[in-house]
Amino acid sequence: MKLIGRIGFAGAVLLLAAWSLLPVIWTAITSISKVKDLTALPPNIFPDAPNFGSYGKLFGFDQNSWDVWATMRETSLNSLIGSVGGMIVVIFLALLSGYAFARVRFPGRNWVFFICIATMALPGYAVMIPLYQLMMDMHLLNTYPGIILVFCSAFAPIAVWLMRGFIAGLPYEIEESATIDGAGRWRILFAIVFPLTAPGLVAVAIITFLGCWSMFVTVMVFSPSLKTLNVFISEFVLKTSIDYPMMCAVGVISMIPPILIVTFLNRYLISGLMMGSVKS
Amino acid sequence: MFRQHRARYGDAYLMIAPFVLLIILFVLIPFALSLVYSFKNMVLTNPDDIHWVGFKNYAKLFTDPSIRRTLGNTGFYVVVTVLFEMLLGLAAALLLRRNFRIRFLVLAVMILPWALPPVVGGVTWRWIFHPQYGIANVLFERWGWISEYQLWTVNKWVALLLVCLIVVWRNLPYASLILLSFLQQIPNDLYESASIDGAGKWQQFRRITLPLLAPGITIAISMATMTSMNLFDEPYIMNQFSLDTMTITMKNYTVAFRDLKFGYGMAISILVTVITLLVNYSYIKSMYKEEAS
Repeated sequence: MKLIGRIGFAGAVLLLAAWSLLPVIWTAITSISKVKDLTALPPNIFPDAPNFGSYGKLFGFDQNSWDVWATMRETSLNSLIGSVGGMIVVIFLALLSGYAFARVRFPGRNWVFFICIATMALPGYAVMIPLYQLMMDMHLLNTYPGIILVFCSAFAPIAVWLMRGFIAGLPYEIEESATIDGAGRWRILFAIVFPLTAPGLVAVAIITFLGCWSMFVTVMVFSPSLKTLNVFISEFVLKTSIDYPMMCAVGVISMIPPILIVTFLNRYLISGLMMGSVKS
Repeated sequence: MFRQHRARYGDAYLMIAPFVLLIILFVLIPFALSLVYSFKNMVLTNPDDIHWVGFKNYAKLFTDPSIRRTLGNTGFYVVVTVLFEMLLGLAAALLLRRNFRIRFLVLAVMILPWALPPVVGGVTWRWIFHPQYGIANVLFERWGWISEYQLWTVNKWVALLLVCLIVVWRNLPYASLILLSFLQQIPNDLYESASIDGAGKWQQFRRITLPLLAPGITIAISMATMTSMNLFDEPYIMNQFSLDTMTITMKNYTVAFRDLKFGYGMAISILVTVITLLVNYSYIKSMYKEEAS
């Protein structure tokens, strides 16, 4: 019986991995295929000889494509600054607001919270043009602070909602005894709540980073000359044809930062909730 | 009255201030302007003739047949994708809560669809289902599921389901991660004492996991709904602006940004917002109930 359970469990894990991985593998294979292999009939599942030409171009090993390498460098840097910046600001906003919404019964709390969360229901197009005008007046178009603030306005509501949920789920006793000991709200927030919500913050960090990282239309509109990696990718998708190997190669490379972030933060998501810390 | 509040709640107002200011400046003010535009005949190619038209843009929503079709498609996407994202997401989260040796690795692998840029993911899926060179046709024919190569997007329902497949594939990690982070918060002691009391696995799931996971489920369902209400990339990449698979958001885009009929476009945006809020109302209301108790 136990053996059957274990086999079933392993099977389920394998299924999950295959479902997630197979299309990604297909992207990776495409990135090292020649166009000739892609359009062979019947299609080749595996290219006869891997061709790393696309990667060579992207990293400037090919002298004729130094401009591609320059754009690659520049757009990667822009993506990183925008996404890491957005992630840090959102974590900060979510921790502060999430705590206030979860633990302080201030007048107007429910209404302010409801309205801010309801903004998630707005389609991006509902704000795009007026926001463009506003950002032009504030000289935020094509700037890092501009990109970061727009990213934050998109992802802060969900982050605040999640953090409020996490903090509301924490046992109140520790905070209560700290209050009796005379600790103020800010001390309680940073000394007690902050370390206890590690898994929540990690989930928020991952969600925000990945959200910012995959932003596309927003960047095209608000920052057309300070391009991100996704905008660079779309340049391989032309009206009449798609440069599949190049596009897939940039796609594969652009998965690396999210993977690094997730693997690094993973352990806090999993171990953080040795909620045993409550006992001490 | 106010001074008293400031003394007692000043810290709380200070804590929410950055977030609330950001939302006011970057979302609420622009949205208010859009709301104003939706009552004007604002056509950007004709900027000299902008005047109030009352509810004319809104009246047009009811007579425009493409609104009904795109809304119908959007509804189909929402129902199918939210259902599968929640069921599979919960299954994946329950799987990943267990402690096993390669959990780190599986979690990282699960996130991959979400880390792949949407354009690349969409184009890869389209390539997989390409009528001539696609791997789906090759494998399905080899396995005897189909007798000849299929033009997948010709059949409306197949096209709709293909879009759903891509959307679920891409957004599953999102739902799963939210659920997993809430699952992690449930203390183990609860399960230990429940199993001492003789509760079975199913009982534990129903009595402990589900109720404590409820806030996470609410958030995950809401997020999945809002994402699916606003699909653009996946249907566009699969089928461009074909009415068979087009969403209301794509309609919104073509009206406001391609035809530059901005006033009418904003009326569509408002329609989408109202529907999304109504759909989410029940979840949000249940949140409030739970909070009041």
